[in-house]
Amino acid sequence: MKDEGREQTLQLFATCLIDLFRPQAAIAAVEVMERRGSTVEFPAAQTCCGQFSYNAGYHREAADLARHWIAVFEAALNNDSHGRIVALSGSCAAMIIKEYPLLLYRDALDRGDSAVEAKRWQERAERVGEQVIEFTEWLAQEKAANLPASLGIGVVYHNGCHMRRMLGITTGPETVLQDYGFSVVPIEDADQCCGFGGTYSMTEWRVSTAVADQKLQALGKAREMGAQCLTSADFGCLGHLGGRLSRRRDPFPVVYIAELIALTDRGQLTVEELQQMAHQKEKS
Amino acid sequence: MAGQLPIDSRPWPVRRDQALQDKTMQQTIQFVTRRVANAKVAAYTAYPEGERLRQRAVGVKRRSVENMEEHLAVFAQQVEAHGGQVHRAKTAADAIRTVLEVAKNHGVQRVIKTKSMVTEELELNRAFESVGIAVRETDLGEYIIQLAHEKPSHILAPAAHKNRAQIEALFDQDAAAYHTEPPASDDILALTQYARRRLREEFLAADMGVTGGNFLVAETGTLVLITNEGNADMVTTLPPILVSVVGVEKIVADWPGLTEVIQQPALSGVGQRLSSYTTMVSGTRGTDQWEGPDEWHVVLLDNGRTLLKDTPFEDVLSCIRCGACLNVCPVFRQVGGHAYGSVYPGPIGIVETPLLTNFEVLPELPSVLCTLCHACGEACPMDIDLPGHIVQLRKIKRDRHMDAAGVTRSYRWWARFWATPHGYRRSIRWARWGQRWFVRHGRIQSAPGLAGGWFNTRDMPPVASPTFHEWWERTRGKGHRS
Amino acid sequence: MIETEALRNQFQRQFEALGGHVFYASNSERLPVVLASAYQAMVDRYLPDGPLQVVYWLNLDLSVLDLEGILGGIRGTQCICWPQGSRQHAVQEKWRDLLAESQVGITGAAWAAADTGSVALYSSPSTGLLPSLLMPIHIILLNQKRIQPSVSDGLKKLYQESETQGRMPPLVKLITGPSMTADIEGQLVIGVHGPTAIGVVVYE
Ligand code: SF4
Repeated sequence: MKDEGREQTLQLFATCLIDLFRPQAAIAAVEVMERRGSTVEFPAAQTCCGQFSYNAGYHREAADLARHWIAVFEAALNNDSHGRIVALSGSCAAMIIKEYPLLLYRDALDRGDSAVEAKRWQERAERVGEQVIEFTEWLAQEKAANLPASLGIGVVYHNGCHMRRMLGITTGPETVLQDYGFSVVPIEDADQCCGFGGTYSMTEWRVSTAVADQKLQALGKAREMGAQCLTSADFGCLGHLGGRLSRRRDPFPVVYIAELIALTDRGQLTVEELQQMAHQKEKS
Repeated sequence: MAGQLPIDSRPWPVRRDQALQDKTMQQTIQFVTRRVANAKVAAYTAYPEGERLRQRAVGVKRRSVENMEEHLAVFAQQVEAHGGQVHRAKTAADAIRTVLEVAKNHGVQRVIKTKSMVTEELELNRAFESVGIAVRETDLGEYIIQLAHEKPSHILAPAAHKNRAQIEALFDQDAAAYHTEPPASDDILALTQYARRRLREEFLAADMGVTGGNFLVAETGTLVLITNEGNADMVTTLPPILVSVVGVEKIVADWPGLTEVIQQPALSGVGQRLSSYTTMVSGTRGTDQWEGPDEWHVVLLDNGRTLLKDTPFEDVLSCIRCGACLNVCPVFRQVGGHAYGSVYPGPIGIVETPLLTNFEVLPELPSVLCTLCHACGEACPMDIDLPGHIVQLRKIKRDRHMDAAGVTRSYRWWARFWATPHGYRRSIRWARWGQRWFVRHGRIQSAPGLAGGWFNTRDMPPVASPTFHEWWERTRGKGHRS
Repeated sequence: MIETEALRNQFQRQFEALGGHVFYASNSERLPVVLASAYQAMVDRYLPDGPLQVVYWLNLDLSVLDLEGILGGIRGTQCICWPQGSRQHAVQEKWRDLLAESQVGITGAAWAAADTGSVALYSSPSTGLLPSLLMPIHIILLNQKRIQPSVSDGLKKLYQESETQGRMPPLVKLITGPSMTADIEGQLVIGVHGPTAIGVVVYE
C-alpha cells in the first residue's frame, strides 16, 4: 500500500485549535507531508470534530458537528477508499474513529429517525473513520531517506491521553523523534493527564490547573535532565501546558511535533530557533 | 427503588477548595496511589497468567450478575442448610434494622468490624452507637479514621490522607481514654504495634463480629473475605455471633467461578497474587468445633443496585472494589477521596453515586471530577466502561436540564455556529473583534463567559492572523492553483 | 519425582518472596532436626528474649512426632497440644487466653499452592485456625505431597473433598504471606493483627 503512496493524496484535518491558535503547526505538517511526496488537500469547509460538546454531554450539538465533519470529508475523499485523512490531533482522531459511530447512531434514534437510518449513519461514520490516521502514525510509516545523526536536542514528548488509550499509540511518536535525531528525555508519570479535558479546563479550572502543575513539576525535573523543549501530537495538551507556562512567565519552548520535524527536514533546528518559536507570541 | 447513600452535604466548591489546600493529604495520596498503581503493573508483568485470569474473571462476574436473583436464592438455601440465616434488605434502613435486631436479641455490647464499604454506605457504626453498642473498626486504616471521626478517603486505604504525626496524636488521645500505654513514637512500626496491642483487647472481648464480603458463592453458600492484616480472621473466628453485610452484586454462581475471580482484588488492588489472608465462611461451627460463630447472619443489601440491572450501566455491578481506578485518576490524586462527598470516591464513585441514588444526591460528580483521560477505563480489571459511563451521565444531566441555563445556551450556540463553514468564519471575525479588550503583551489574559475560567490561571494566544484556513486560502486557494 | 521437586522449589520461591521462611527435611527421620533448627532460627530472630510457649496441632501423618521432646530443650519451650473442640464457653475462654499468651503456633496444613505461595488451613474439630493467627510466630509443617501447582488446583481439591464430606469446612483460610498493612503513609509494616513471621517446614 505504501508504494503507491509516493503519489498519495492526503486530506488534512487541521483541528479547530490549531486552525485558530497555532496555524504554524498545520503549515509545518503540510510541509512535512509534501516533502515526502504526498499531495495535500485541505477541505476548506471543515470546522471542529465536536469533542468539546460530546465530552460535556451535549450530544445533540456534537452530532451536528459530527455530521458536518463527515459530509465535508466524504466529499473530499470522493469515494476513494484508499484516500487518507491525516488528523493533527490524536484526541480528535479518537473522537472520530471511536465515538462518532455510536454517537450518530444514538442521536439519530433520539431525533426520531428509523433504526435503519440510524444504522446508516453509524456505518458512514465507521467507513470514514477507517480512513483517518493520526499525523505521527502516518509519519512513522514514512521512512525518511537520510535521517540526521544526533541533533543534540533534548525534548520531552507528552502523549495525549486519547492518543494513548483510545488509539493505542504509545511509544510510536517517541520512536519517530528518536529516528529524527532528538534525544527524548523521559518524564515522570508520563502517562498522566495534563489536566486539560476540553471545557473541563474552563469550568473546573482549579482542579485542572492543579493537575497541570503536577505535569509541569515533572517537566521541571526533565528540564534538569537536559530537556530543551516540550512537544506533543496533541495541541490541546500543548496549549494547556503552554498557557500555564506563559501565565507563570516561563519561556520554556512548547512546540507542536510537526514543527520540529519540518525544521529538522530543513536542517534548521537549533535551540535558538526553538526559543524564538516560543517567543513568537511576545513579538506579535 | 433508588438507594440512599450518606453524603457530605457541603457544596462541591467548599469540598474542592478544602482538598486543594490540604497539602498533607495531597502528599500522602500522591504517594500511596502511585505506589499501588505501580505495584499493580509490576504484578501483572511478573505474572503471565494474570491477564488471562483477569479476562476470565470478567466473564464470571458478568454472567453471575446477569442471573443474580437465581444465584442469590441458591446462596440463601445453602447458607441456611449450614446453620446460617440470610436476610434480604431492599434499603439501607432495612439492613440497619436487621443488624440491630440481631444485636439486640443477643444483648450484644461490643462489636468488632472488618473494613467494609457496604457498612460505610449504611453508616452502620452510627447506628450501633445510637443504641449504645460500642463498635470498633479493626482494619488499621479504618481504626484511625474511626478515632478521627472521619470518613475513608480511599476504598482500600481509608486513612491515606493522614500522616504519621496526625495518627500519633489520635493514638495518644485513645491511650489516655483507655488508660493504656501510648505509642512509643510516631515511628510507623511503633504506631502499628500500638494498634495491635489495643485492638487485641477488643478482639478478645467482643461479642459480635461484623464483616462485609468480597464474594458470595451461591453453589456452596460461602462468604469470601480478603484482607492483608488478618483482622477478618479475628472477626470470623472469635466472637460467637457473626453478621456479614454484603451487596447483592457480590454473588458468584459457583465454585469454579470463584477460583477464577478470587485473585483479582489483590492483583489489581495492591499488586499481590493473593492477599495475605483469604477467609472463607461456609456456615456456623459444627459440634465439637472450636472456632467460628455459633450464629451467622448474612444481610444481602440492594440499596439501588438492582436499578442498574438490564441497563447500559449493568457492568458497574461487576466492580470488585479494587481501587485501581482511583489510583490512576489524575483528579483523585489531586483532591483525594473526601472531595467527592460520597462513600464511593474516584471514577467508580462518580459513576455509582448518581446511578444508585437516581441523581438525588451529588449530581455534580460526573461533571466536576473528571478530565476524561480514560486512565480508569484502562486500569479497571473488570472492564467497566467508566469513561463511557461518565460521558453518558453528563448527557443524562443535560437531557434532564440539570446544567445551568447559561452553560447549555453556550454549547447550543457554539454548535450552531460551528456546524457550518460560514458560521465558523463569522465566529472568528467576532472573536477577533472581541479579543482586543483582553490581549495583554500578546496574550489573552481574560475572557467572559464559559471560557472565562481558563484565564484565571492560564494564558491563550489571540486568534491567529491568518488562521490556517486563511493561510491556505491565500497560498493554495483556488486563485493560486496553477 | 522431578515434578514434586519443581513444585516445591516454586512454592519456596513464592513463599520467600512474600517474606516467609522455608525449611526442608528430605526424609521423615530428618524432620525433628530440621524442625528444631527452624524453630530455633525463627524464635532467635523474632523473639530473642522471654519465655516460649507453643500451641500446636499436626496432620495425622505426624501424630507420632514428639514435639515436646524436639522443642523442649530450646530456651525451655513449653508445648501445649491443641485439644479436640469443645462448645463449653468456659473451656473456650480459657483456651483463647492461653493462645493469646503464647508465642508460637505450629500447625499442619490442608494444602499449599506453588504459584502464589499460599498455604490452606481448615477449621475442624482437630485442626484450628487460631494457632495460626494469635501468636507472633507461625510455623507450618507441610507434607510435600500436599503442594498443588496452583491456587485454583487447591481450591478444586477443597471442593472435591467437600463433595465427599457433604459440606465445606465452616472456616477455611488461605495464608499468603505474613500479616501486613500499608495503611500509614503507604509504608509496609509486617505483623498487624496476625503473625509477624511465618515459616514452613516442608518434609517428604
Ligand atoms: S471500577 Fe474497576 S477499577 Fe474501579 S474499583 Fe471497581 S473494579 Fe476496581
